[in-house]
Amino acid sequence: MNAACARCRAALPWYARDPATPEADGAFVTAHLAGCAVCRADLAAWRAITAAVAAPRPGDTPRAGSLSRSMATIRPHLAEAPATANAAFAPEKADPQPWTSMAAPQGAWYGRDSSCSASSSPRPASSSAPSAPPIQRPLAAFIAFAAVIVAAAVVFAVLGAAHPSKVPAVTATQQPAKPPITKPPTNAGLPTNITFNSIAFGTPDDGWAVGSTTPPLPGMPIPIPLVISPKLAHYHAGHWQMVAPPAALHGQNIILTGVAMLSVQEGWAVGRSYAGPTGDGLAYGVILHFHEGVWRVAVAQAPANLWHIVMRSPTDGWAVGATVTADPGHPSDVNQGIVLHYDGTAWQQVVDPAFTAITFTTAALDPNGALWLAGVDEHSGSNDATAPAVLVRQVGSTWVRQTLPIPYARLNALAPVSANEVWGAGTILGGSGPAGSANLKQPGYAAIFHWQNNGWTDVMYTNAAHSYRLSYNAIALTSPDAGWAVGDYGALGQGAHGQWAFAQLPINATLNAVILLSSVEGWATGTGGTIVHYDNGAWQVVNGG
Amino acid sequence: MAEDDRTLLARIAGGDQSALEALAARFHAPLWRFLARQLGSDSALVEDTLQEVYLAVWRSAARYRNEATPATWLFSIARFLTINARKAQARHPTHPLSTTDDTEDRSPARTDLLLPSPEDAVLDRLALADALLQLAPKHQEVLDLVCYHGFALEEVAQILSVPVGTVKSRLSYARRALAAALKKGALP
Repeated sequence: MNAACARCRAALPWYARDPATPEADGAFVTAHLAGCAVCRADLAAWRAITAAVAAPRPGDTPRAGSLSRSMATIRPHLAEAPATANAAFAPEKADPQPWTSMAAPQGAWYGRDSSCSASSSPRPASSSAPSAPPIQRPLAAFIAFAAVIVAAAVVFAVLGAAHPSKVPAVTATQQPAKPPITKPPTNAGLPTNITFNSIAFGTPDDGWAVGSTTPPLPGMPIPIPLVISPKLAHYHAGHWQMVAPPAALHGQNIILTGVAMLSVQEGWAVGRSYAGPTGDGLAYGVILHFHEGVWRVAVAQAPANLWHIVMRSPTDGWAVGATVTADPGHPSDVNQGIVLHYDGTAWQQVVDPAFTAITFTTAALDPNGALWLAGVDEHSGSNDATAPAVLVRQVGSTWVRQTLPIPYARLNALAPVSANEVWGAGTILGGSGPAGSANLKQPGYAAIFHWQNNGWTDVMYTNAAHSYRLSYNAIALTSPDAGWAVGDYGALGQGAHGQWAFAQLPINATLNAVILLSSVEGWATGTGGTIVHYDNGAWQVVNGG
Repeated sequence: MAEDDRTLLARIAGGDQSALEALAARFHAPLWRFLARQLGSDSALVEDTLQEVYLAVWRSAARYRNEATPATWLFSIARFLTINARKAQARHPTHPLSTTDDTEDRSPARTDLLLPSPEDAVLDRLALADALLQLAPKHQEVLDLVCYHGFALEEVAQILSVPVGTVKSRLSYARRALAAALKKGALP
């Protein structure tokens, strides 16, 4: 097939329907068809297909009165004011209903890049999902809302003028009261429309943060056109700068979700395509390799969404994720855990019954090099909020799967201490907690989990009085019983002597990743292009916030 | 003169319910057909889902951006909501009274429509209709958006939230699958 035939055939599906549409490439196709019998035959085929598609089927036309009935049904809900253009980015308020009675939002537990703990789709009267209180006068409410925004902007401007040189810093040795939210200055010069999902350093002076332009929040209608670009930020010698991703990823709506650096010269990153309005549609993964100063696509079509990567050595690494259900209408068709192993030459899938019906969201290596995985048990159906969290660990040549005995738990990150001990960071979605967990009086607590000697020996929750849900999304240790966890809305968890204290940076960003280079230095990254530096006991926002 | 769709969306964003009703009237039939093809002939489910589409439009109109046509935007919302509807359908299966079985598709009325064609062509078309129903939903969906609704390649990609290349490959696959299903060789 020559180039002309290729151009013609690309247009034939549209030409067969209506040669006058721009997509039909009418003038060219008509001229080409005159001299090409093969393409004429193809046109005949497309005309037959078009006729078959257009042929009426029962149910194709609206039921009598359906339009007026539909409008009458939704009219009571129209008392709510239409959303403003940026309403999607407001912190989500706690839901008055228990989580157990809510339909699980799609992608809600994909904590690593989910800047919103949960959301519910709008439902008409027949739905059990709660709806916001109606606003009787939409225009007045809209004006009031706009006035609040303007007032807040004025306050921020005054605060910024009063303290032009101060960058907020928090020393989180104990649980402080939530400080007022102020906008810290941005001084790294990186864009703020980026969500950084992962961070890794080859040396203390050279590292990478990966992510994407900010994807739509779960449950929100997809922007048209959807453009999500993978993003790579490089830190070297005190400066951050953006680095262009491989050109092969252009136009693919790729979100980079994990990065692992072996040295300044070598590293790996994984990602996933953003498919479907909530990003959890049928999709594929990508694997990038950084070598000799260049990021290249090593695997363009991995068989699943990839969420995390860890590298034990240049010839030994793991990437984990999950397939996405091919038929969301089929209850037995659930996500399956995917584990890929790199042996120095190629990435190959490792198959084990322990990976069945799991969405793996994180992975970590213990000091002995054994792999630990965490995710969500999908046996009860994808997107089931009551599905338990699972832990899978590598024991020799076998994989041991354990379900967390904690209802509604989500493990978003792991920090193994040994073959018998791991700290986990995540959240409690709701419901009644284990015995003794007196703090579990309302849903949405950021939580630290502790697994030791084949059992969950301790669980600690944040107990700050937040009006919105919180989640820890990442954790890193400086010793077996000390470290930091980071999470939603600048949430911090400081571990010392096995005890964890909650704190919160004065930022709105969700922190998705943390790395500790020493006991006195670390980095965290998140939404809004946020990069936070931990330096000698204080966290300081250096970009975004 | 009728207002264009973008104007209606702008009015909806400002809280104008009559604009929503006007937009719904304009898109009711094509959206209904699109949903019906996605969800089957359970007209109650289609109607419920369509209500959700209108409600989502009401709540999201302010976030509509002019880069895409309103039709593309509306269909992307509808397509998103069919995913949820399918899940609900699977968890609470119903047995609609009307069916789309083969018998109905081969009804005399349908055949009558094809009488002017030669006998072989009639058989081919019936086989093609059957083959179409055997395609995976994602392939039927692409064919419907392109061959019936006439969306452009990039618009289909936006509605389905997939790369343009994926739309092309799904079209190509559907074309090959239909050709393979036809023993008479109506498709080359």
